Amino acid sequence: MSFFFTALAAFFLLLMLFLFVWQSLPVWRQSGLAYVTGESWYFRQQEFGALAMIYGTLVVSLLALLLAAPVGIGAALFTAEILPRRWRLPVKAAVELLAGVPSVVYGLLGILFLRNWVYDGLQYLDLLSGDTLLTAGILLALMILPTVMTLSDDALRTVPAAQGRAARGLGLTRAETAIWVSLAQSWRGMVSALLLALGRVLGETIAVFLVVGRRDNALPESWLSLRPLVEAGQTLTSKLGGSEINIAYGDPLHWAAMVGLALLLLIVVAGITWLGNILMRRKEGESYASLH
Amino acid sequence: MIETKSKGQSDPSETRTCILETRQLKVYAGKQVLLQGIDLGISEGEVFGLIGPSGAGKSTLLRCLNRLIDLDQGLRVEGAVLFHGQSVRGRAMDVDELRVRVGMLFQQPVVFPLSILKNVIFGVRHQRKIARRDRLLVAEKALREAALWQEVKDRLQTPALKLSVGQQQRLCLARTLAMEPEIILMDEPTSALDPKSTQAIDDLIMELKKKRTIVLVTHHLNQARRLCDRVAFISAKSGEGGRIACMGETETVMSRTDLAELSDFVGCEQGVTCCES
Ligand SMILES: Nc1ncnc2c1ncn2[C@@H]1O[C@H](COP(=O)(O)OP(=O)(O)OP(=O)(O)O)[C@@H](O)[C@H]1O
Ligand SMILES: [Mg+2]
Repeated sequence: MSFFFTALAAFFLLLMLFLFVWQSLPVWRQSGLAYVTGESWYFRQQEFGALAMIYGTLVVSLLALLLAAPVGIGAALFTAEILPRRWRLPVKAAVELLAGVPSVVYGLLGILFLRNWVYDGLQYLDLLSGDTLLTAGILLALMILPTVMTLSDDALRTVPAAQGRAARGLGLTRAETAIWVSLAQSWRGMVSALLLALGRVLGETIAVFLVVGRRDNALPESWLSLRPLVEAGQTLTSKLGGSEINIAYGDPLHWAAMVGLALLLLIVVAGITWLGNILMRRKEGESYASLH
Repeated sequence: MIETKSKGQSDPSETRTCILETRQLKVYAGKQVLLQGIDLGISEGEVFGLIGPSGAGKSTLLRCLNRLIDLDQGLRVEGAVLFHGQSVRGRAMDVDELRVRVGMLFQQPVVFPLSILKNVIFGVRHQRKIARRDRLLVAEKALREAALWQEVKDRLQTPALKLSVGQQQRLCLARTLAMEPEIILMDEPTSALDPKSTQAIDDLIMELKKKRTIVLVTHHLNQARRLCDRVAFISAKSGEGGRIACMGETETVMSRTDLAELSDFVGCEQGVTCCES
């Protein structure tokens, strides 16, 4: 039965992939791989290079994950290990409430507060505005924080209390027990929580759209440069969510280029999900042992 | 009070150094009393038994001794526990250090989902730095002491969860022994085990008492008779919390007939044992 549904899901995914590949064929014919590696996107000149948007998506997502992971896991550890047990459920309920807030609300809050805070806080860097990749990254981090936290908490709950008691009985400190028992036995759940969050971040549109600046062709001079973080940029989703998609509809090549962006996004998200599945499906014991 | 009477009994081991002592130890869960005024002294090198009906508070008492009770939220402890004369509950006490010196063996074996080797050195490697090549030596010593070495020496890298429950319990013992504790608290260490594994643990306790002090909670009076130098009988009238009804040399306590609770307990247990054998 579960096989049937897996097959059904795979079928629809393939159908979708096929549709997007087919729709984006013109741009692949015109540019080939340069569509992915091309640094400039000028649709009036029929020039379509998606690299700046891929870069924007990756930067924003990684930033969000980098910020949300330590805070979210730390908060989960705090509620699980330090907070009195009777507080754990109310805190979890509150956090889950936050996880359900629509992203457009986060976007508006971003415009209202975060944008100004980034602009004021980083004044010494001579920002042009508060709409930057960094702003989008922080906003996304805030958005996924509740998810990361509550799923990490779920993962921590799967560790039997007896294990912690045994470790404390062996003279391990609270911190050592948190690391070598709680984290060691739940890190896979946390990684899957992060991957889920990553999937959400990659596909998130409206919140990013509102604070990312939507500047085309924003690429750094050097790949290691951090400067683009504090400049406006564009992600795959903010491009797709903008008005250009309506302009593109009349022109087959331009339309193909836009659909191609969705195809790239789909591939990345599917890849992440697949990775998460593999990680979860490997046998419990093995990977826990390999951590030590 | 019966406590005073039992204390008054001459106790030859009182001349030996007393390393663990409780004074008017009380434990409350909210308004409910779990233990009311426990006074006992455990001397170096003895096997001290705690017997009594289920729910009397034996495990609770045991957990007070190395402060594992701190992990239970909502319990309040009063009175003193002295380890080498130093207050266990004082600010100066490093509780993690205390738990290294006063080890614990639980009713159910709790092994970590790791290899046998890693289980054995799980505690000790946090306590002191052990060079990688010495780990095997440390593990071997502890496993030999727990009489498990012969059975696992060829598969130290396999998951400990694959061991039988009896072997797991001895693995837990090895893990505790690796820390070289002065006292080992055992909370019904054989109640989850079959007769053969029980026998193995019993033999081990006999062997261990040459070097270490053991506090043994047990339901089996035969086990107490065989292993314990002294026992304390803990009883609890419903709703009152546990107290020491009598304490002394094992045989003296067991043969007392003037205590209704005790003879009830002994009589009933013996009945059961007779039927079993
Ligand atoms: N954390 C707690 N909160 C409230 N009550 C508790 C708590 N821990 C134990 N108790 C109560 O304290 C009493 C003594 O429990 P304890 O486990 O010490 O008994 P025991 O003598 O070890 O029994 P057994 O032989 O069945 O193991 C029981 O009535 C139990 O319900
Ligand atoms: Mg008990």
